[in-house]
Amino acid sequence: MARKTRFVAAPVGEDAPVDDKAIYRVHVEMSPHETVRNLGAFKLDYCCMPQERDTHDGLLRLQAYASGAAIAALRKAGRKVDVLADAQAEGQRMQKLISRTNRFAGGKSGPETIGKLI
Amino acid sequence: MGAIMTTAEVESALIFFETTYPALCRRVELPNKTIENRTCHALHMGLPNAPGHPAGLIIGGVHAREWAGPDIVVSFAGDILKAYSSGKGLQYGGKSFSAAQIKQIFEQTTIVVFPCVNPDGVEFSHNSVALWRKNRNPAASGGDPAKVGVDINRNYDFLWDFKKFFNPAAWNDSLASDDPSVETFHGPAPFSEPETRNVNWLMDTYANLTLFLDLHSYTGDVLYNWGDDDNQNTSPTMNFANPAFDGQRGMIGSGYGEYLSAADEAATTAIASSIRDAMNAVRGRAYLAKPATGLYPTAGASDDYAFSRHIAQAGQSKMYGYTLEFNFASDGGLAHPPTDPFLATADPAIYDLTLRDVIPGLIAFCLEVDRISLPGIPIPAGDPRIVYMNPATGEVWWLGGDGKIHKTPPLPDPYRSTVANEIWRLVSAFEAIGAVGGHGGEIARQGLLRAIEAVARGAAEHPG
Repeated sequence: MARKTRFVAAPVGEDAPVDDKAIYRVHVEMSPHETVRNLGAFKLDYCCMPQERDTHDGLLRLQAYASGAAIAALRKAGRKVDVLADAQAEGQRMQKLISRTNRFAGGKSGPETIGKLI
Repeated sequence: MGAIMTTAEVESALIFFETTYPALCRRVELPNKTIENRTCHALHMGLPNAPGHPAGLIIGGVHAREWAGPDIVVSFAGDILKAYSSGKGLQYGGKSFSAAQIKQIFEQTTIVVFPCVNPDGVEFSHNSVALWRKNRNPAASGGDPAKVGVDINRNYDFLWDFKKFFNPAAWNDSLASDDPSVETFHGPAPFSEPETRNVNWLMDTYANLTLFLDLHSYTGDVLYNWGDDDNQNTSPTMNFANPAFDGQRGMIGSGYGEYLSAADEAATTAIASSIRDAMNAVRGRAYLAKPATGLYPTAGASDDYAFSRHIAQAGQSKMYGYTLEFNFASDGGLAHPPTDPFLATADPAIYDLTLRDVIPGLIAFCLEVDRISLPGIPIPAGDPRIVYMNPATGEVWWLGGDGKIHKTPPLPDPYRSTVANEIWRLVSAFEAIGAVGGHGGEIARQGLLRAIEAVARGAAEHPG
């Protein structure tokens, strides 16, 4: 069984300092009438990620990966960017939880049944 | 509690299923090796199949960083194999499936799963760059590691050339990209990648497919056709195959809408809702069912390619396409997700919960495969030597007593336009008399060619 890990990334937040070359998990604020095309110049990676509308202020919050350099450029352009985590460091921690052996080698065993047989 | 499977474990699990349940499943080797020379396998499940059984295809592991996709598909296969062989049903929290339902899947349908379409990318994500999305094709990189890879789910032959087909205002990095450094780089040509060719091979090989599902993460949605633009069911000629609308697609809420007949929309929405409801019943999560444009417009995606085949390629079965985006966004719990939602399943507790949530959706999908109404097949009386049969089109090829292959005329497809059905009928008649010799045969063929030409000319002069 894989061991459990606490997932804590720092620094985080609206004003968190960033390293230009690192990749971060961020929320980028957009106005209700904008599309992601407006952010095209910043080379964000937002594929298969939601663009959630805040029910209080109607603003969109795009979830994305962004380099530190992109975050700096977004902020310079007046965008609010909330840094959630250092995505690369988070990924490295997660990789340690992946199976490192072949538990089913040679097809002699298989995955345990997930559902309950009834 | 489990841990994410390596690609080797996925392959080994399929061997385990094949050796443990030889009467219920067999591995299918895919014809195209990956760039890193990996051989991939799918798993065919079902009792020895009588011709005409409808089939469903489920794929996973397309985007490398969307961890647990292959695990869900493998574990789903293991669960239904175990249940059927035990004569049992399955329960996942608040969602149960009876033994009779599991029996229905194995005895009335064929289910094909391809758990890890992109093993090169998955291995790279597991061992090197965790956030990797694409495959590992370096062909367009020019030696720059940041430009390696093609987005498999932008490489299918559906409106692939987005700069030709879509409104320039809709071009953005989620639609598709021709820049190799972008995550949605669509490759040099449709089906340029071995991974997409393998999926297409399965679609070609299983002519009775009625449903297709591509497993992704993480917006918490069951997405159904179409994904290039809004659905509309009032103007059949406004569709992806009509060049008159090139350059107009992809602007949600604008003038263009992709045609989906009212009957198809009702059917595919109901199926997506069944998948959603099964997942939500497990522990009250809030997966949503919506058209694929509800995420964002895409070009070259698998779900639209699957559904487009019966329109773009005569004789292909009609299959509805789905993208299931597993995990948490639609729960409203993502305002500040505690960990990366793509990778969160590395946590054993989240891994287990995710599998329990999603496998019921795949079982519900399988139950819908059999509910698709297929037209009756006109089997020639007294001649059982059938060599090909497509229940979705009603097409049958059989070996006649004269030693030649004969074909039934395909049934009219209500999705096709009247003109397309008419041309289809005439071409079939032309083929049917292809072997008729003498002056009479030649006159008949010439007459049919003139009729085809006249129908086509009429359609060109009076479109719509």
